[in-house]
Amino acid sequence: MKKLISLVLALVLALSLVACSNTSNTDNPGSNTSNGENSSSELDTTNPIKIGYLAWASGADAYMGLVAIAALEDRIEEINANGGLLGREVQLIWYDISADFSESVNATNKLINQDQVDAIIGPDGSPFAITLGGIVEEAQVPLLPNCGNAEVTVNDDGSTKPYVFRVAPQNALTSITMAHYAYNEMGVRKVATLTESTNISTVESADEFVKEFEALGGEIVAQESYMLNDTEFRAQITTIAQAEPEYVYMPAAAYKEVCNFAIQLSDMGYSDSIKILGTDAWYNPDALAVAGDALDGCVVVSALDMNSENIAPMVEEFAEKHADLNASLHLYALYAVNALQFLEYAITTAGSTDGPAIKQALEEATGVEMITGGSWHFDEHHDPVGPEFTILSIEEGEAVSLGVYSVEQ
Amino acid sequence: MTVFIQQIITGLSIGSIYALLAVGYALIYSIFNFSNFAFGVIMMVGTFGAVYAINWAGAPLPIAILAGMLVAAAISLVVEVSTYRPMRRKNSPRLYLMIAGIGINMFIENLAIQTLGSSVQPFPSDWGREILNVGGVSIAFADLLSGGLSLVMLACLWLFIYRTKTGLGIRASSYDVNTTGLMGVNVDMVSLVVFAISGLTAGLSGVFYGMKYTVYPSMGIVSNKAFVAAVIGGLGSLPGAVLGGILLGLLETMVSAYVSSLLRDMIAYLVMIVILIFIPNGILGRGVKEKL
Repeated sequence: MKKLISLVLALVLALSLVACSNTSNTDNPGSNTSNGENSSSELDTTNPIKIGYLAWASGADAYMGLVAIAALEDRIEEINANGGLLGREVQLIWYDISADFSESVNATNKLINQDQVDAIIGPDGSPFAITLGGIVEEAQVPLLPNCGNAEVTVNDDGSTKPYVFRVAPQNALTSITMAHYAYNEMGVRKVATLTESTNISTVESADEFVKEFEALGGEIVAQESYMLNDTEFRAQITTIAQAEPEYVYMPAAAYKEVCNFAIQLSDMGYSDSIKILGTDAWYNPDALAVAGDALDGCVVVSALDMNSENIAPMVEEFAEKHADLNASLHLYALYAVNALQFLEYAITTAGSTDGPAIKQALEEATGVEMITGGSWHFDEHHDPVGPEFTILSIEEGEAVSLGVYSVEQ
Repeated sequence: MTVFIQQIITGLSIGSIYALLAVGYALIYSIFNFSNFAFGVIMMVGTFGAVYAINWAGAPLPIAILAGMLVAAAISLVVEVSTYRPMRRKNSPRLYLMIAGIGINMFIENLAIQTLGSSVQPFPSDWGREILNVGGVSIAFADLLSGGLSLVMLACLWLFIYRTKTGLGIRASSYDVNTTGLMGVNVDMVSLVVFAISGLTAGLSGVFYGMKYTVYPSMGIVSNKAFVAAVIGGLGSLPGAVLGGILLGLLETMVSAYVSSLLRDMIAYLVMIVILIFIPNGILGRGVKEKL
């Protein structure tokens, strides 16, 4: 018996060793230094430009960060193969921050003090990003979060956080666009909302939608909520169905809750009378694969059409190269790449990796080509100007573009 | 009225999953006096076993369910033999076993995210989502089956524990493991059987959970709710675990439906605290000595 126990113990140990060796190249802190061989001979590898990334890379929605890391590393590989920035090699250093909010503060301090990065990309969740403004200001290290809450870039007193630059559309803008499209173009009058109550970003999105939709003359017939990682929505569905909305606005932060909601809506026989209005925070090719035809008829406002001519090949290439991730390229990973593109532009323009110089170059940028399309710059609140919204309709498990839509002010 | 009945059905359906998982917790607690907090990942690994049985081997659903249960049982045994047993041998305090369980839970969950990917996937069978419509109330087949199977599983367990020789050994061990060992019962064998059965229930509930919802590496998180259910019912009592699971499912659904989905967890856990204040051993728990 003792032999058996030691054998099993040895097996478990071996298994964990294999696991460690499998993941060591993505272990914290991850860094992308494997490009020495194919880079040009003039590349200065002794004094690399260090870019930090705050990743949501473990737990139930780890796909958000893991995909973004891979997308950033691909882009950096490309930059280094083309001679780097200012002739210097670019390195990505990332930390997983998904444990709790304090982790994003710890990781930012580590990136600044220990790794001495030149700029930081992320995080992609507003609750994680809001607290970082002061830290990066003191250290004079630009932070480019890819998340939507207003307070990410603006202090309570209305002043702009000097070192924070948002590289994703604001929640309010996304929600207002959806409200206008639903009311004016689709003729929708009765909407219910279903909100993840534990996330400041989704709560803000729902509030903005309600405000705008009611101002337009629409009626909000029910407001229900759920918590992160909930799987059971039938209690909410039964209540919502009583109020007879035409659509449910669901600005979820990740897709698994939307899939479960849609599947249960369909199972309970309401999928013909009630459809979902959604945002690009959860719109993802994998969501369509999971929910199947349950999402048919949903309308999503997105800063990007993943099936468009420019993006579809990227998605395919990514799937081939990173089959081991078992997750599709998604919009928030591309926003992270947007951030990197802004940094490429700013560092090249400023000719320096000094924090204040990068900040100034970002503020003065008049139009930087983005991987998500269009050319963007920042307004006085460091919010991006330039993202265009595409309206997508989900038909037979495929997202179909209904064209670009912008709210006429 | 239809709406009310629909909410009851929903509550029962969530409750039946909690109940099945809670039985797995209760079983181990009743013998070894500690909670196996690695239960969530055992359930998750079992579910992935069933998914891969269908996706890779093209197994029909019943075989896949069986495969899921066997995989979960195997993992459960590995956890027992590699970690819990050596710790018990060294007279480790029960609390430390639970902490080890939490560690195993974290380790396997993150291992799964790194190896299987972090994305959510549908269970590759629509069978569980077939809907029975009775007078405007929709009931999913998976709910009927998981409700029914929890009862069958419970009946089998009862027969096994009260009508077989191994069962006698399990009952004896639940009073005093050391003395039972001295009386010639192979306690190691008893523990293997108990962990195997607990793994089977984890696998079964995981497959149903995956069928009703989706499959992903962190799905084991639901087992926390099941643990709460087992405590409400009286930790260590099998009928108590079922009762606790059904009660928690109903309570959550009713609060969501008629009070507010925002207050669901707050009220559900408040009720749990109140129950524990007035009935410290849970509804059907009867102190330390009579646990089965």
